[in-house]
Amino acid sequence: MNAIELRDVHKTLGQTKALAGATVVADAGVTGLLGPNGAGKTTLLRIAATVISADAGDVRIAGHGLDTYEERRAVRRRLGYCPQEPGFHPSFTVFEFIDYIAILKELRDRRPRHDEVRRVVSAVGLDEVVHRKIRKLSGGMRHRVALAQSLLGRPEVLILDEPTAGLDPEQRMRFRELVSAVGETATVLLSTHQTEDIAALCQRVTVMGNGTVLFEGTPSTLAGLAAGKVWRSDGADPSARVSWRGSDGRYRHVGDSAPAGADIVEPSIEDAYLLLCGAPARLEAA
Amino acid sequence: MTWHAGTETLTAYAANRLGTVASASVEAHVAACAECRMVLHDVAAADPLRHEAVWDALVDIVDQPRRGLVERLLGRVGVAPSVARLLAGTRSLRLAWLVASAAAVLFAVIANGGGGRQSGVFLFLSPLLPLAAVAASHAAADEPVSELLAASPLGRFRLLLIRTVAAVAASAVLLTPTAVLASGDIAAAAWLLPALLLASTTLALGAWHPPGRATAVLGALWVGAAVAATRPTRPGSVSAALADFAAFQPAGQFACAVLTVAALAVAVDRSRVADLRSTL
Amino acid sequence: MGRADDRGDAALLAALSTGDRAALRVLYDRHATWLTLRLTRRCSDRDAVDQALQDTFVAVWRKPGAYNGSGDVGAWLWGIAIRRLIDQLRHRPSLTAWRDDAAVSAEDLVLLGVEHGPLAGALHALSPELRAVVQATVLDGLTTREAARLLGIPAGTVKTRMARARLQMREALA
Repeated sequence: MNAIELRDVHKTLGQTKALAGATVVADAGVTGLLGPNGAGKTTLLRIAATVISADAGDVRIAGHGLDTYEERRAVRRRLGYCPQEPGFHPSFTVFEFIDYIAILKELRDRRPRHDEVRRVVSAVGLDEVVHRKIRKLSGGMRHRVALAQSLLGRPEVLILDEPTAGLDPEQRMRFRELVSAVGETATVLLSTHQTEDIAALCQRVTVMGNGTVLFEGTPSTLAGLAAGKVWRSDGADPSARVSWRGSDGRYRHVGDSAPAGADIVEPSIEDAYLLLCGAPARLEAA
Repeated sequence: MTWHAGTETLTAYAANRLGTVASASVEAHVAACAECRMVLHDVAAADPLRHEAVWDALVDIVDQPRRGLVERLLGRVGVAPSVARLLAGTRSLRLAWLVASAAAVLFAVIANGGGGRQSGVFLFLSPLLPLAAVAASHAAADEPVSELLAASPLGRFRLLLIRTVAAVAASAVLLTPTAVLASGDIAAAAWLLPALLLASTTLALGAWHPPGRATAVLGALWVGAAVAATRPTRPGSVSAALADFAAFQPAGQFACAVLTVAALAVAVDRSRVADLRSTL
Repeated sequence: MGRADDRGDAALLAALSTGDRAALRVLYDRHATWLTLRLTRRCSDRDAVDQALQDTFVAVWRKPGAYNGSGDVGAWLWGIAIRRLIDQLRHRPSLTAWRDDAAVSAEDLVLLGVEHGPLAGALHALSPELRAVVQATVLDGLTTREAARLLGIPAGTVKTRMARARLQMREALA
C-alpha cells in the first residue's frame, strides 16, 4: 500500500483535458514530478491534496480513499500541502498566519498549537522574522512561510507545488536539506521545473506531459533513456531534436540517434527530459 | 569604565561568598558594565535547564498574537478561543465587525426612532446585514487562503457555517433589541426570520457556490422580491409599503421559518459533499 | 544558533520594536545571569525570581521604547526586574526577602578601599536592618513604599530607619 496512489486519473478543467489517465504512485521518501507548463502537475497535486475532485480514476492517500467525508477529513489530518500561490492575509505576522492555518488543521489547544508553530518556524529558519508582517517579507521568505505551514502537525504526506521557484541557490540548498530530512519519515511529492532538484533530492521521478505520464522510475534510469542520444559538435546539427550552445562555444544536441562519428556524451536528466517532452510516444523504463 | 570588578571578586559574588557591602558594590557596578557582566556570566554556575525554562515560558507569552476587542468580547460570551481567532483574527475582520456593529446600531436607532409603527425600511434592509457580513468576512479571510482552506481538516463548509452563525447571532443581538427599544414595538423583530432564511440558504448553496456569489444572488432576490411585492410608489409611502411586505406578516413569517428548516436540512445533507468541489 | 550577535544593547532594544524576537533572545542570554543573581540576593524563592525574570523580559518586549536612551541598559533592566520581584512578593507575603551576611572578608576590605573608601566603611558599620533599607532605597533605587514591600516592613519603619541611617553615616563620615 503506497502512501500516495493516483491511478488512471482524468480531469477536465473548462475546455482543457488537464489529466488524461495519469497514474502517479509515491511512497516513503521524496518523489519528483517533472514536466513542462500545462503538463497537469498542479492539477494532479491539487487532486492528491483533496482540493479538487477527479472526474474519474482511483485516488488513495495515506491509506484512505476520498469517497466519504470522514475519509477525506482523515486524509487532510495527515496531509501537508504547499500550493504554488499560497496567498496570505496582508496584516498577519508570520506567527499569526501559521497559527491561523494551524487552527484550520484543527489544532485546538493553544499551548501545543503555539509550540508547533514555533517548531515549524524554526525548521524553515524564520525565527528572526516570526513577528514581522508577511507583506514586509521578501519573496523567498514568503515561500518559507508557505512551506512552514505545510509542516504543521508532522504530516505523513507532504505535497509541494513548485516549492523551489523563486528561491536563490542558498535558499534552495536549505530547502533540499529540510525536505530530505522530512522525506526520511514521510512521503513527499513535489513538482518542479528544475532537473537539478530531481537529481539532488528525489529517489524517484515521474515525468508528465499533456496530462499523461511519460516516465516513472529513478533519476539515473531517466537519464539513461538518453544514452547514446546526446552528442556535441562545433556547429548546428539539423538531425537533432534539440540543440543549444554551451558556455564553451560548442553545441550540445539531443536527438533520436546520434549521427555516425558524432562526439557522444554522458546523458543528464535534462537531456532525457528534453527527449521525452517532445516525444510523441510514451517510453517505458526498463 | 576604568574600574572593573576582577574575576576573583565576581566568582566570589556569584558563589555568594562575598559580604553584603562588597556584593552591593559589585552589583552597582555590574548593572552599568557590559564587560563585567560577560565575565560574571562565564564564572557563574550555569543552569541551562533553568535558563531555557524561563525562556520557554516567556517566549510563549511574547508569541501570543494580540487579541483585538472583538476577539476578547467573543471569548467573554463563550466562543472558543480558536473559533474567535477564525472570526476576528485578521485586521480586516476586526474592522468589519466594528464598522458593521456601529452602523447596525446607528441604523436601528435612526430607522426606528419614530416610535410606534415599525419602520419598513429597517425591516427591509436588516436581513441584508448578516448576508453582507458573511460575504465580507469570506472575502477578507477565506479567499486569500482558499487552497489551503480546501485542503484543511476544518474545511470550507464548516468555516462557512461558523461565519454564518456568528453573522446572524451578532446581527440579532445588535439590531433586534435596539430596534425594539427604539420603536417600542415588538414587530421590529420581524426581520429576523427572513434573515435566518437567507443565511441558511447561503449555507445550503455553499455546496455548489462560493459565499460571495451566493450572498450576492440571494441579496438581489430579496431586494427584488420586496420591491416587486410591495411596489412602493411615492417616496413618502416607501416605508409603509415595505412594512406591509408579506415576509413580515404572520403567514410570511411562518413560511420563512419552514423554509429555513428546509434549507438547513439541505445544508446538513450537502455538508458531507460540500467540502470537495470540482474546481477551486 | 548561528553567529554571535555583536549588536549593542541599545541596538537590540531598537530591533525589538520591529518584532525581532531573536534580539530578545540575545538580550535575555546577556542579562539573565546577573539579574538572577542579584534578584536571588533579595529573595531566596527560586520561583519568584524566575517569574520576575520572565515578567521583566515580557515587559521589555512589550515596551522597548520605555528605555529613554540614557544610562546603561543594565540599570534600566534592573529597575524593571526589582519591581517585578516586588510584585511577586505582594502575592506571597510570607517570603523572606533580603539575606544578610555580617562577616567581613579580607576581600571586602580591599574592594571597599578601592571603590568606596570611607563611605563603605560607614555603611558597613550600620546594623543589618539599617543597611537593608539603605541598599533598597539608595542602591536599588526603590521608593519608600516599594522598599517597604521588598523588606516586608511598614513604610513608616522604612522612613525611620533611613533617617537613623543617615544620621549614623553623617556621624561616621564627619
